[in-house]
Amino acid sequence: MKIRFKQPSVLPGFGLTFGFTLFYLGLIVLLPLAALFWTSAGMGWSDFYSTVSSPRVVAAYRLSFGAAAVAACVNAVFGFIVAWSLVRYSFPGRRIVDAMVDLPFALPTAVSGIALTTIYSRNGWIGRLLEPLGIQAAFSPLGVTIALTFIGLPFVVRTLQPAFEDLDAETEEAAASLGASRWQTLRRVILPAVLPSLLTGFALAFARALGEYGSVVFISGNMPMRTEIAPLLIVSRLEQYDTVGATAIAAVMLTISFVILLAINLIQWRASKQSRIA
Amino acid sequence: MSIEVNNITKTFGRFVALDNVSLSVPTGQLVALLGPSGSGKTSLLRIIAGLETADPGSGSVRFHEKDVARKPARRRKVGFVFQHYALFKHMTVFQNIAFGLTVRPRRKRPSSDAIREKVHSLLKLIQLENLADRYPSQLSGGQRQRVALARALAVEPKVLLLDEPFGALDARVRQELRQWLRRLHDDIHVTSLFVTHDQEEALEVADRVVVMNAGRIEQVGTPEEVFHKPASEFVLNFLGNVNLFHGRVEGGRAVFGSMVLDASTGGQADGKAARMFVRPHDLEILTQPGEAAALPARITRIQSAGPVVKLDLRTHDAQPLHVEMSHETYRQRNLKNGDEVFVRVKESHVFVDESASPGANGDARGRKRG
Amino acid sequence: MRTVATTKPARRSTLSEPVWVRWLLIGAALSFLGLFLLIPLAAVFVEAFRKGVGAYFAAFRDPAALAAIKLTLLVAAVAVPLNCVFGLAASWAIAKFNFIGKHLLITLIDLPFAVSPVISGLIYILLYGLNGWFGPWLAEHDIQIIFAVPGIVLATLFVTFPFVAREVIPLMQAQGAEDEEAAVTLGASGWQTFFRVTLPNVKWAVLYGVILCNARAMGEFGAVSVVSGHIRGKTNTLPLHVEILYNEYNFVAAFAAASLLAILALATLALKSFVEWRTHRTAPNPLEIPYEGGPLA
Repeated sequence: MKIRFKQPSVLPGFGLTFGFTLFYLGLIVLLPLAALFWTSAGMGWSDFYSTVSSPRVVAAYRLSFGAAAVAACVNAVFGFIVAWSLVRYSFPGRRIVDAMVDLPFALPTAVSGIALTTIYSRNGWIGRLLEPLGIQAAFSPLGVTIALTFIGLPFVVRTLQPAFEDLDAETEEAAASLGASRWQTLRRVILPAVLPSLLTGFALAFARALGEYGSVVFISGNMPMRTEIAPLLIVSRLEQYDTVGATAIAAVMLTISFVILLAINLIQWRASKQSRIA
Repeated sequence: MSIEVNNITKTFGRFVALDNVSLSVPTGQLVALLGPSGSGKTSLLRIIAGLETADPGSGSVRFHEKDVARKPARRRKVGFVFQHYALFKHMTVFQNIAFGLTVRPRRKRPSSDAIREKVHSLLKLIQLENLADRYPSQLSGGQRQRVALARALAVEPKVLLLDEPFGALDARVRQELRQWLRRLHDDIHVTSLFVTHDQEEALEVADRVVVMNAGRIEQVGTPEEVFHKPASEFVLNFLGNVNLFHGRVEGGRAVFGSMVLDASTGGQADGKAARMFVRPHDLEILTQPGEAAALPARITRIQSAGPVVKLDLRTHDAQPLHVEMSHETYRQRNLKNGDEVFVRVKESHVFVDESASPGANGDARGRKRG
Repeated sequence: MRTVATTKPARRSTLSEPVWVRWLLIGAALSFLGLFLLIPLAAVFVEAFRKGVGAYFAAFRDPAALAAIKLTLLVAAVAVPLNCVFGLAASWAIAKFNFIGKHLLITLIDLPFAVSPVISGLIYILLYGLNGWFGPWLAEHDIQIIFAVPGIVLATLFVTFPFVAREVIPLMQAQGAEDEEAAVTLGASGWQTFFRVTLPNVKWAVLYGVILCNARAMGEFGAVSVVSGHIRGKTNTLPLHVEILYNEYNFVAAFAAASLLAILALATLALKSFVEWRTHRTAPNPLEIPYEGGPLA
């Protein structure tokens, strides 16, 4: 049996469309990404390590990861409630609320950045309320977390919504008829069924928050060691014409992003395998 | 136009969809490709249409003696009706039927008046004249099927190929449509080949039936031939219910329990396993043991609602039997559930194992009339 | 990401929570969304009009603002059609044919979603910047890509790369090739098949992808910021213009420009909902077919 690259088909145009796809993908995506890894590989291990392990870089990584993780957790909890409310309950304005969930995707990040900064700064609408409590939101790690929560908000909602829709009403009724309380049904029937979607949404929100730049630069205040996130550090290295340093920091982040991507694929693959058996 | 298929083989990875298949369809006939799913019938149809290619170097498809291997599907002049119709959702019925004419190169394209006329004559043929402006989503399944057929006929194909044409319809519509297709074919006489897994459909509609199994053709013949003279156990089993009796060859004859058949067993050696198949209507129920070849059994269930009466019986060695008889006979015999009766074989098909003689084509067959 | 319509019959009583729990959850959901969505959006418009309507419109008389709007439109006008053509070509190759490595290709197409915007800009500096792979050659031929419009276009192409493709590929895959096969047996050529059968079948998905692609192309900040060089009136897109004004404490003008982008975002959401509503009426909804490839964004 001969292994063929492409199975024969009566439809024309494979060569043209496949060729163009590869060419364009190579030009716009693969070649530039290759340049990044090539450049960081060229700088030698000790240079690379000393760059990415300098205290300022480590602090930036720590803030980026920490704030992204907290933001993704907040989104997981509230995203669950929002998605549940949108799918299960009807209330006035539900359709508009549903459409508005995508606002963080549609709103340019610079706009959300300056809007959030204005609200949470000392004399902003919310900042004013927080100040007497001794809480400083803008220009602090809290501000970074708020911006990252905003930016990751749609992910959990949008991955959970179809999962809630797909839930078979009969399994819940079966649980009820077997004597389970509503809370038990939620914990033991609904939650396991939507867990892969919840994890995927969490991972997506986390990955997006990790790389976010526009909405954070304004609210963070950009203080080295305290409120400087990793993408910002890349930009400031570039502004000092330290392209190699920027590349090293970027290579670490990109690798982590790809690992998260892989993890998400793994979650979905496992989930689809499970649903096929069921 | 006639179709000849010579030694076509088609494999998908390790799976052999068609194993050296040859077939010829004479001009103007309506032929059914009958077989279970996975028997290769759809692959064969798609290869004839040019939608799929046979394995390289395996054989040829000829239309009217001409090899069409190098002809792409769009130039084969084949009308193909897809199982799920593949109607273009965004086009009206009229636009769907006209499609094949409107995509012709400008100099070969009929005028728009000619196209309109053609489409309307086809709409008349399929009895949907007043639905020309509907969209496929606004039609019933049977109507869609007919539109798909009209669309295929609009380009005046030399050959009409239909893939499970009634598969997606409910039973009543299916019944109507297949009689309609038969009448249509009698009117237009285009060489037609249709795929089906429904034996009743194939026997009722086709001039000839091609029975396929596991990538091979088991038998080709008229509906009468394949039903009454099945060439293999598979054909016999596939075309209706049968009762199976296990026995063996003894002294050149097949012996099944108390029944001895005079059937020729093709000179098979003694001790070979033999199998006898009897259709439910070829078993007769007697209240008295008239002959030696009758089998004692007990009636376990009677179902008399329907065109024939169906009875379930159980022999003394616990073998279940299915018998069908007319209502008239049923009343005459005065049968009741639980009755001890005798079952006589009126007509049967006997197959003897021929594992010892490989290469012999067709099983040893015996037919016994009682 | 898409809205999922929720037109379901009233749930059976065993499947519902007590009224107080229901309203508690709805209340929590709405407060969270109000806090994170509504207040920032309102803030944009309130700040923009803080000094009156006159000051608001004065912000758009600034030549730098007009140049930024023009550049933003130009970048979108180049990036959206290119990525749209790419999306259609990739969908045709992936959905209508079987070949080795298809899943890898789908994953690679989604890759840009996993890359931080800043890194999306950086990689083009590594290629076309002064010390980049092609830098010396470009300098020799006096071609400027980085800190110029071509760099902005390239970075935008990168961040909006998957939008059309990821909407169209799953739909075309779900539709299969039967319609195209029917067209071919009826004698249609490849282009006739594509334009008269395939394209009408996927037009809503294409539109959906174009809407999202356009929103991101006009609103991209991080990637563009890295490669633009912030030359006022020359390489400033609207989001970059917002940043500069804000950093100069010219808040009214910054929020006025931002309000324009916010209106774009609201229009995007409205159009998107419209497409979803349209496609929902013709079941099965092509936009709800699960996507086989990468999951990001």
